[in-house]
Order: sequence, then structure tokens, then C-alpha cells
Amino acid sequence: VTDRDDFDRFLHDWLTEDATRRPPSGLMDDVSTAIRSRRPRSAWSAMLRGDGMDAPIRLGSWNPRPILLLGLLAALLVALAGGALIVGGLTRQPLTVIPSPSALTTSLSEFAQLPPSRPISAVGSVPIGESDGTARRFASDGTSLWVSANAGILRIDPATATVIGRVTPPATGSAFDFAVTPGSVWVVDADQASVTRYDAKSGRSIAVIRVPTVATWITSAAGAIWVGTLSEGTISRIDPATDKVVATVRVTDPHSSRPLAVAGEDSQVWIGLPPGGQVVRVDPASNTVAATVPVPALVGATGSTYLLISSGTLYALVNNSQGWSTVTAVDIASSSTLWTTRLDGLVSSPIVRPDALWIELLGAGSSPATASIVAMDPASGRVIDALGDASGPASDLTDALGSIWATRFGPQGRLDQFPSAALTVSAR
Amino acid sequence: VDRELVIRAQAGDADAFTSLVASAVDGLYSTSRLILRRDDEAEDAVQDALLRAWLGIRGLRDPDRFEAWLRRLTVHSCYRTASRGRSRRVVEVAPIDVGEPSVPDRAENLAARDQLERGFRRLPVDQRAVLVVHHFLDLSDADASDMLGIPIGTMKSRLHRATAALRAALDADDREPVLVGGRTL
Repeated sequence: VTDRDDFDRFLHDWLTEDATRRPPSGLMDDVSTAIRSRRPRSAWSAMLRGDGMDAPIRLGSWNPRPILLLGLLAALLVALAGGALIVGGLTRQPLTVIPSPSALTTSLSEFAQLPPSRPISAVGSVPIGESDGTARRFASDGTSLWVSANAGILRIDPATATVIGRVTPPATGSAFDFAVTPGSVWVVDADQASVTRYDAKSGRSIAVIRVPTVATWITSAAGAIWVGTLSEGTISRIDPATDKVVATVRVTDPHSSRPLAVAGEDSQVWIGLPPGGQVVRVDPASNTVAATVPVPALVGATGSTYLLISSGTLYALVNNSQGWSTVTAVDIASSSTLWTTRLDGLVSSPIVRPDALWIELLGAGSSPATASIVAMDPASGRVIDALGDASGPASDLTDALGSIWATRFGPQGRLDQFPSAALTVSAR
Repeated sequence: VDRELVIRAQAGDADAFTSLVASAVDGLYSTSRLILRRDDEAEDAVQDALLRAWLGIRGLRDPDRFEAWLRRLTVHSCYRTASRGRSRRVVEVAPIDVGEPSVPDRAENLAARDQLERGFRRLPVDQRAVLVVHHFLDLSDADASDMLGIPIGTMKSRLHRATAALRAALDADDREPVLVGGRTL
């Protein structure tokens, strides 16, 4: 086979004779099985992979596919960078959007006038042994009073005014939120997407419930536990019978950086949405948003926000970083604003009594250290009474178990107990 | 090629795709086996090519080119399979199967086939592929270059080098072995 033609012929014959072997019988079966578990890729994916094309993309002898891929990668990086700039720009926008007085339904050109304050005196006190004296928030299960403090969540016997038990979450010391139901204490785990249920009597953990994201607030309403987050704009419903999340309801756009406020009643849960200036009602029967009520004052919320529902009226307390606040009453049935009152100071701890809406007002007037408990007329929003609390500001105030309770800042943490009749409007 | 079957396969019809490739699998296997010189690797290459064809069939712009496209995928699968074979740590020595000639042959012809087999196996896989495409499939230069995924000029020069390398391999095999210190060089 020295001659070239002979060599070519010889090679051709050799290859042809060697090519008579048939493929194994199982080859097609294997292929058939493999393709039935996969779907063809999209045309774009096939093109980018190159071997999916019936002819390569060519410019003369130059194959531009790597360049095409690099171009697409560069375009993707530019798009991501642009997106990051846009998002960064949006998040850098000031969150403080103070509404002009004309944006509200009631003229807010002036602060509400406060009547002269009457003194109020505690009739009892409960030392809680906190070195830095920070008792934060109250809740009641109908028989005991619970208060969150650095050492945990303390159970107070109202009859003896003593600490009779405690629940100690791992994140003690941080601003965890909690809710109580008969026999149980529910605590948001500060750093994890979970809620821990504790036995109220023994203080032991009895269940850890996974929730979709790290929760920032928790409340008990309509026979369920509700938890929500700032970042996701969702609330999740926990069934106390099974300790499982049974529904998650989206109430606002995700990544909302504003605080949410929540109020629960037997048959409804209300969520305040400061970015949109509205409050939504979640129907526990269907786990859906059933109503939306506009509350323009919420647009300006840059501080803590409180919601309270009573007798068909929604009260929204909105604090602003400039040290003033608004209180708005909304008629739920008609979704109309009844009144909005501007107060010189920061508000918290609303309590509804038959004759008035009572509010803790901190920093009223020229002195930020002054504290008052003011009464507002539910019909007009006028401030009709004020109590001067000689013990200073309370971090929370609650009306529970026949008394008014106040948590105290200061070096020696304690709860002060006032008679229930103390929150009665005095005729002037 | 049945255009209808190709279009159905592009829409995700696995039965249509199976019908399409069933008639082509013998030729694909023969091509792979000639290039790779191993039955198991040829089977792997054909399976790989057919799976890639299924996954990428929506990138096939001209249904009439299905067969040529499938052959090109098979050649590229052979390259990948050969590359994997080279990367194996343990060198497998496969028995040389010279095949059964279709007609009775003379002894010197068998010896020549054995030489050809040895020489062919010494070639790089891309040179084996160009020889198979040119001498076995008898494709035109344009179709052959398309199947190999290279320009016509590159295909021709590669064919020239492959032929020269094969002839050189045969010449080297023709030389008498020299015994030095008990080892054959």
C-alpha cells in the first residue's frame, strides 16, 4: 500500500469492513429512558451551549460564541450593577416623609393644648430586681400579668404584687416581643426564624415553631398566634393546637423598612402600614386581607406606631423623629377619619376606657423628661384631662386585672400599681 | 429526515425523537467505534450525543439538517469521550479487534490490517475523526468540515496530516524490532 490511491482504497475498505458491528441492543433503551426524564432546553440555552445548534455561529473562520458569552456576561454584570445602584439609591432616600398639615384631615398647625395636670400616686410597687431597671412591655393572660425585662419574661401575681415565675428565652436582654395565652408564653426568637412556646407554669420550652422569616412582632388574636416581619411584609398564623404555621398572608410589599403596628381582636387582626398610609384588616376566617382603611397620618411615621381597636373605632398613634406625634381615630365601618390630633411629645401605651382614650405622653412641653398620662375625648380628639406622674415616664402602661400598671425606667427596675379609678376623667 | 418528526421532537415529543434517532443509531455507533476503537467508549459517545441532541433540539434552526447535526454532535461526543479516556489514571489496554473481513483474505492482507489498526490507534482522536469522516462516510469537503465543526481549509490540512501520520505509523511498524538488553524498542 505504498501508492496513495492504493492506500486510500485500502483504508476505505478497512474502515467499511470494520464498521459492520451493530450497537448493543440496550443502547436505544437507555437513551429512551434518559430522554423521558428530561425536557429539551430552550432555544436560547441551546444556542449558548453551542452544541445544540445545527451550525455554529461563525464570522469567516472566527467563532464568536465565546465573545458572545462574554458580552452577555458583561451585560449581566452591568445590569446587576445598575440594579444595585437603583436599589441603593432608593434605600438611601430619606424614610422621613412628614406630611404637611394640609395632607391630613384635621388642621395640625398647632399642638393640642393640655389642661393642667393632676397628680397621680402609686398604691403599690413590684421590684423586679433588674440591675438596669428596664422592664419593657406588658401582657396579660387573664390571671397573671407578664412583663418583659432583661432577666426574661416575668410573671406577676396581681394579688400579692410579687414575681411568681419567669420564662427565660436565650435572647434575654434583646428587645424580643412576646404574647401570652392561657398556660403559654410565645416568644419571638430574635435571631432565628422561629417562635418558642413556653409553658407558663414551669417556664420550660415546649415547642419551637419555624416561621418563614425572622419575626419582629407577635400577638394573640382570634384564637391564633400571629407573627410578622418588617422585611417581608407578611404575617404568619400559628395554630396553637398543632404548633404549626397554617397560613402566611402578604399584607404589603416586601422589603418595607417601616415599622408595622398590629392590633388584634377576637375576630380580626389589624396591621398598620406606614409606607402606604393605610391599615389592613386580615380576616382570620379566610386568612386574607379583607379590608383596607386609609390613615394618612401613618405616612409620616418615623417612630414607633401603635394601633388600638375599640367599639368600631381604630386609633392610630404615630410618632415622628422630630419629637411630636399624632393620634388619629378612624371609623372602621365608613373608613373615614374622625379626627387627628397633634401632640407635642411622643405617645405610647393607649388604653381605652369608657370616657376617654388614655395615652402615655413623654416629653410634653419644653422638658423632655416630663411625662403625662393624657385623656382624649373619643368624639373630638381634644385632650380633656392630664395626670402628672411624679415617678417619671413609663415604658409601658396597661390596664389589667383591676389595676393600672406602669413599668419604670431607672436604676432599680420596678412596676408601679395604680388604682383602676385613677384613669377616670375629672370634671373641670 | 421526516420534518414533522423533528418539529414534534422540538415540541418535546420523546416518541418522535426516538423514532428519529432509531434509524440513525447504527451509523452513529459505527462512526464512534471507528474513531474511538473501543466498543464501550463508542456506546458512551453515542448515548451522550443523543442525550445532548434531545436537550438541544430546540436550537436546531433547520429541521432538514437534523441528520448532519446529529453526526456533528456524535463526533464532538467522541472527542469528549476520548479526552476522558486519556485522563484515566490506569491505562486500559483493550484487545485489538481487527474485525472479520467480509471476504476470505490472504495472510498478508491480515497483517496489513493489523498494521493499520496499530497505526490508527496511535493517531490523535481529531485525526482519526477526519479520516473516518473522509474515507468511511464519504462526505463532501463542505459536509465533512461542517460535521467536524472546523473550516474546510483546516479540515483538508488535518486530513493531510492524519494520512501522513498514519503512513508514517505503518512505516514505523514495518521496521524490524531491535533487541537491546532484553527489551524490544
